[in-house]
Amino acid sequence: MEEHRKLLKVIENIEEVMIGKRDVAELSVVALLAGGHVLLEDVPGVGKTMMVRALARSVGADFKRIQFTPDLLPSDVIGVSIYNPKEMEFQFRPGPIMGNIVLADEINRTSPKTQSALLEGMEEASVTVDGRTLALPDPFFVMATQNPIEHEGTYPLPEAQLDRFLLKVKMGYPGRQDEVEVLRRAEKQPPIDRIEPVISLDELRDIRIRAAEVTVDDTVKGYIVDLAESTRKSPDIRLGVSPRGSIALMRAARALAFLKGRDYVLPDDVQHLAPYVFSHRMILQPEVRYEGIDSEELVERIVTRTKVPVRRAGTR
Amino acid sequence: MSQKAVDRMFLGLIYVLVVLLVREWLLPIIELTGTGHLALFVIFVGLCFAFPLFGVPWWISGPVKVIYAVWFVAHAHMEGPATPVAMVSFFLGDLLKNAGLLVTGELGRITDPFRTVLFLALLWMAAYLIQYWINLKMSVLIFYGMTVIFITVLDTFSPYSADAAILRVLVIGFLLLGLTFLAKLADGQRKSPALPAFLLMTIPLLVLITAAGAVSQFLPKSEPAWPDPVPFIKSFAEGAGDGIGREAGKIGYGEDDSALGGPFIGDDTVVFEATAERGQYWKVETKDTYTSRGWVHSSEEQELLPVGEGRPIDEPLLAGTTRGEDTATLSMKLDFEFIVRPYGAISPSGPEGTEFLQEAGTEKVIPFVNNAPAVLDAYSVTYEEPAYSLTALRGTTPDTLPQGEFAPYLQLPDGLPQRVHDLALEITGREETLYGKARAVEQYFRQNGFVYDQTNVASPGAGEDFTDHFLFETKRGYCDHFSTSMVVLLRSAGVPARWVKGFNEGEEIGRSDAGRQFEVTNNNAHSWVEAYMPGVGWMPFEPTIGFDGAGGIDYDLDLEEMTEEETQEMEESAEPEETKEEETPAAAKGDSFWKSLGDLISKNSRAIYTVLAVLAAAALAAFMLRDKWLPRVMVARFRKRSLDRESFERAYARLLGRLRRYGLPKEDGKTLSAYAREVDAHFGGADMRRLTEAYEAVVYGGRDTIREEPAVRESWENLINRTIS
Repeated sequence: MEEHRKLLKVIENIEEVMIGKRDVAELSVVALLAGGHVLLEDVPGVGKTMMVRALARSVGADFKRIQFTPDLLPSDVIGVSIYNPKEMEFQFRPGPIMGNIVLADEINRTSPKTQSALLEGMEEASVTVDGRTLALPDPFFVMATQNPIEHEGTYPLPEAQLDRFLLKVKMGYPGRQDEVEVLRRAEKQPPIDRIEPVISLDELRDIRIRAAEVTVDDTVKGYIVDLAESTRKSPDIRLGVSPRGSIALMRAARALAFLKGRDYVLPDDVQHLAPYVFSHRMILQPEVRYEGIDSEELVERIVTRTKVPVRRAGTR
Repeated sequence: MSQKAVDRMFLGLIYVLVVLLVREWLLPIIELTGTGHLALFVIFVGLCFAFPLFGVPWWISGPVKVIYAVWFVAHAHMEGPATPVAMVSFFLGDLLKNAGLLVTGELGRITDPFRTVLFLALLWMAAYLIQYWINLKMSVLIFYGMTVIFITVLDTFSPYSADAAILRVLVIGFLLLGLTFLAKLADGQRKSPALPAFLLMTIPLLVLITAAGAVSQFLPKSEPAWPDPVPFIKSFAEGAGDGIGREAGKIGYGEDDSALGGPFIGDDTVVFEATAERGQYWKVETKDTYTSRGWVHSSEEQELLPVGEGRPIDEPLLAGTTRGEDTATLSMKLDFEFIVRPYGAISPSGPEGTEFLQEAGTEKVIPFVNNAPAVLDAYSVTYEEPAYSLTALRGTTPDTLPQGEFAPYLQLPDGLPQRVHDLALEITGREETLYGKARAVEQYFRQNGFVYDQTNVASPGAGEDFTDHFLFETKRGYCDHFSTSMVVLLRSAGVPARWVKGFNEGEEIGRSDAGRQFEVTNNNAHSWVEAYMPGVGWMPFEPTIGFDGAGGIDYDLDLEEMTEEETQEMEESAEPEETKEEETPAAAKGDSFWKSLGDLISKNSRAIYTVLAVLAAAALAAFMLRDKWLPRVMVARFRKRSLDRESFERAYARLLGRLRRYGLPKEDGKTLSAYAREVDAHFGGADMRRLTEAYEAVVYGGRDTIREEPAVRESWENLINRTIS
């Protein structure tokens, strides 16, 4: 289990630049391992860029950043074919999406058309330009951020598109002591420069295959389904989690188990990830939203109420 | 104020409330048993709680409590100057005397001071137990529940009225429960709350309880829907019968004895006061005819014979000695047209012009003034207290009984059930003398589960025989039941006997030059038995449990014979039960198997019920105490098993069950590892985590083998053993 030590080192690297946010770092690595993408819902200026860059450097990946604005066009994301008079043909100039790790900043500030250009790439791992399909690099990992939807001038992502993100994470401000530490470090040379790659991209691809082999016993699968079903039955939830959501939870749980150095998934992994996987895949009843209860809270409630299986499926 | 002081103050408060609850136990005990010194008992209980509260070591608190007990006993029971030396010698002397009584089993003769000592010891133990509950479990619910049950039961079934006590118990009990709950809450926290916060938490509790108590006190209360459950319970216990539910009669001397039975209410109206040398039974009259329901006299018209000069009231003693002539002076408080007299009465004397005539059949003596029955306020009777010769009594074989002369005293109703005859034969069959038979019957009531009771007495149903009902159905009653039954049994056994009415000795209220003064009340109205002993005369017997009887025995035998006699008597009294047991298998031979089995069961129903009750109690106890033994059994079984996937799952599930019983239940939404951390935090160590990791690998990881099996086994055993609470 050398690999998981290396992954822990990646997390440590991220922690160097983003103090006190180990859980976010861990979740990012989980998404990276599971081949999913992360939606960070947060206010600007809490160190998202730093974090993604640290992650990219740690795995020796190519880092791209797209700042979404209302006037951004799909071609600004994907790239554009330009006529080369010398060669007498159109040449494709790849856009910022053609990177291993992409930070898509303020994704809900741009038009739905541009959003879907990115989201299609995330879903298909390829983009279509001028009728040609271009494969995106492997690994391809998007970390998108969005302003809390209540802010003005936003185009909220439709639910179906939110589904493309494996995890939705809220980062939040650092704690007081952590912020003091942030200030102290800001006086010195930015730590991002000191980060050395821990694993190569090849190794990362390898690890991903290994992580997908982690056992999920039928007992645990049953537990995941129980949780998803609870969201569908809850009177507070208008639209519950789809089977795609259950699959996402299982994939994420595998990655987390691998990260913890286990070759089987525990209900603990499922419990830990359920709020991040489920919360953006369901629609609450309006009255519940008015009461100020958010979906993370609801999922946590469901988790505490759903019986954890303690015996193997099939035995009683 | 330091945390320790606050804790101690809180514990002190709880102890004060507990002492108040204990006081509620003492109140009815003291009222119902006529004990005094409530305050001193409460102080003793207070001491029992105060010493541990202030951390006084046992070698100080123990002696202090003993000294207090010595002082208490001396203060309450000792006469004369209370010097320490006198106190200690009084205490030790009493202790020695009673220790002897305890060893010989004469529990009835234990003195009051020693009873006090025993009671104090009981209180000491009770206080210790309550402290255990509070200190270790912070739980007073059991004690409180027991108090409530005790008080309500007493209120329902005894004269004790618990109206005020119930309210007090309510307030004290809820305060205790609330405070201990607060303490339990605080116990779970890392830091117990500061004093002000604590007070703040107690205030709503106090307000609630005070308000509820006050409101309940002032609210109008409807009458109970079921004012007195006692008759119902009684009738339920006795089975259906139309004689049940008879109104409770008032105790006292009545002329009409034709229908005996039914409950009695005590009445301490004074009937007369007597001055005599010794306390004794006061006889009024005898009756000879038993009707299955009660007593009448065979002849309506009684021949009246003058008594006094030349003709004594009672026939002179034929064999034995008397104590010499004494005079009993009586002063009547109720109007009776007869006189009461001691045994061995010779001649009465009343005011000038009074003539005393005796009914020949009943032996009732009636004073006449101007040829009409009169009521005398005061009179005296001379008497010679008889002591019947044992030698003569041992010669009373049935053949010495004159034939025919005693027919009225051998009368029995035709409808008397056969089993009464059988019982009489069973009791007296081995006795050769009439005296022996009479004593055997007298002893029978003391040994066969009979209970003296005035209030919870069922009357026989229509067509049932009074004696039969008492001897075989209820075994519960008062003097009329015992005396009537003895007469009937004696007559069945061929011993002439008659039923005697009168009063027992009453209560001694003082002494004067003329002798001791006795006060006799309606409660002392009594009935007993006289049997005819050839060569001795009519001799009184006392079958009723708890009464001494009249007349004495003149032990005019030499010592060797005496001992022999005693041994013989002891053997004889033990025999009836043996014969009973022997008969059962004999009966089984003849009849069909099922009938004899039914007989066997009905004959031994008491024993069977006892065995069943014991078994049920044992099962219940085992169930209640399963926390103590079940884990050990589990461990023992676990050790024998090999640990594969299946058995490991079962063992783990069993552990979860044990932990739930212990008070560490796993919530549904909690994962095993989170639960394991919780359990380990409670017990210390890492057993549950080690065990759970291995378990997870099996259940979620699909492993077929258990990793680190020896360590896992050890952890499991450790955890199971820890659940032994």
